[in-house]
Amino acid sequence: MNSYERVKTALELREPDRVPIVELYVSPNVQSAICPEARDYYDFFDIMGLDAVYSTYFYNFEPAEDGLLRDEWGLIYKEDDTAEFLKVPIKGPISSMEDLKNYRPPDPDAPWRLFTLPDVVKRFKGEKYIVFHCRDVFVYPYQLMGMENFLVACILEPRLVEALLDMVLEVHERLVRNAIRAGADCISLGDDYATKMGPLMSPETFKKYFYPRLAKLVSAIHEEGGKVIKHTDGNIWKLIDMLVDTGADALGPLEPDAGMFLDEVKKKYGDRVAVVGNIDCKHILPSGTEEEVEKAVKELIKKVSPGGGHLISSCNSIHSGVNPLNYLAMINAVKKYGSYPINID
Amino acid sequence: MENKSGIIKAVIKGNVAEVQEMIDFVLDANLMTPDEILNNHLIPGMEEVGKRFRANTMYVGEVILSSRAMHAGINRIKNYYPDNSLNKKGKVLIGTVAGDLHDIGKKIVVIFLRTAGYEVIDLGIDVSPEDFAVHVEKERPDVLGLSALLTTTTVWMAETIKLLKKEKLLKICKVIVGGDPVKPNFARQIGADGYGRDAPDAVRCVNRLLGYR
Repeated sequence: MNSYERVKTALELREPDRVPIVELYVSPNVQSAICPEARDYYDFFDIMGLDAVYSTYFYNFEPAEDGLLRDEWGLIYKEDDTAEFLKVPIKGPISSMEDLKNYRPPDPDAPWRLFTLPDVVKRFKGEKYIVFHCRDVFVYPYQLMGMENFLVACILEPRLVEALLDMVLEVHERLVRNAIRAGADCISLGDDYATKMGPLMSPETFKKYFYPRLAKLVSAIHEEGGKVIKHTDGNIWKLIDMLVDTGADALGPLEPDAGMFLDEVKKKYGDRVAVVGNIDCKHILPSGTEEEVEKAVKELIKKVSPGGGHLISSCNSIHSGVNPLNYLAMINAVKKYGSYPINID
Repeated sequence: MENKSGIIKAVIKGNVAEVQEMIDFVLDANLMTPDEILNNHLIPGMEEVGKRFRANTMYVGEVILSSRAMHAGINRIKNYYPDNSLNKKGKVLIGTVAGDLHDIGKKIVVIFLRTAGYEVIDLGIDVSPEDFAVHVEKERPDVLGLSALLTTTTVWMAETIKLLKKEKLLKICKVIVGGDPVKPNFARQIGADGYGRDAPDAVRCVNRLLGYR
């Protein structure tokens, strides 16, 4: 069984030959410490035997006033030299229906939009499982309006919110269709809906605005023949029924620190979705010992992997603060304990 | 909810007009003093909102609406306080430390602090120790809040406090820290004056440091 088949089998809720190892992002500093021979970002995935490769969209930046930057959504960013991959805008261009009417979203068909995906497809198609990571229908809307304004508008200005979400949905529906047509096997829908304490909006608000549009996005991806992993941080127990009902093929990585234990999720929903995750990348992977990492992997596989439908990863990403030796220990432990049938005392 | 006053219920619902009408009515009819309105109705209303937020029965958007309703109520009674003391509860300067671009949690803290009546200046994300020092000197806040999501950037909390100490700026303000990887022990070790485990707790911490109940 090759990597592609391994991931596909797990996503179809069956047991492959071994628990697939996937990771949304592996920070270059961790890569070069473990695998100095890697010549580019994806070499690492190849050499270390990860089963999926993730690529993502690209939006251009241009200089804006006061030394700031503006992306194609019109979001304004502060220039930074941090090692972080995801940038966080400081303001957005929409505060009213009038602004929205005059707003032009970025073109999802722009030739640079799929970024490295065409190269990834050329290199890995049929060998590794190709995942395209994309935003869905929450983060851009709140970034475009500012989080406070957006969350209040969800209560007071439903027409504005509906129109804004439809605009973002249209862009993303085109983008995910393009990605699957370009050769991606799967879309990872990346918007976080919760903090550790719970959802950022009431379940009623989620049901009214986000659930139907997420479901539409999932249907579009399925229509193109792709699969869907729905990612979200935080404690999502209050939303999880709806997330499963969108028809997504997998949930995760989910945050154990926020009470999202994969064995519990699998017990309740394992007949409908696969689970991805979730070795703790806040404490164990940055500052635990290699023995602790191995123990965590062994425990997770024992509890979650039997029966299939489990892809192992960190609980978010291998960010710049992860101890490279711990990540290596994690990969080795999966190879040691993750072969089917799972047989751990 | 049944035993709560009309003003408290209107604050919880986030209904600005209702809060204002009720306050006008009880003031005109001499049924309550401004102090009673503030201490027995507006503040308890927001305390209940904080509790419900923690219990996940109210969410950020609803909390903001309640906060607006409470502030509308305060505007109705502020003229009874000629020293403008209602608007002088204190100033909080807050930011996410160097190398860290995360701000969802910090934004929620800002909302809760403003709701509690503090003036809050949000310096944004990726703020260096030097920038914090410059702004502390300029704004002279009562409390400085440092936020971090990444384990790796919590070192900048310590660096920021070190610099403030060196520049003798810790005389101006108390420092509180918070964010997912931050624990009370760590806060003590780096010399912070307080720690908040979530947004309502950050407000309690600031209240305590500034001598409010």
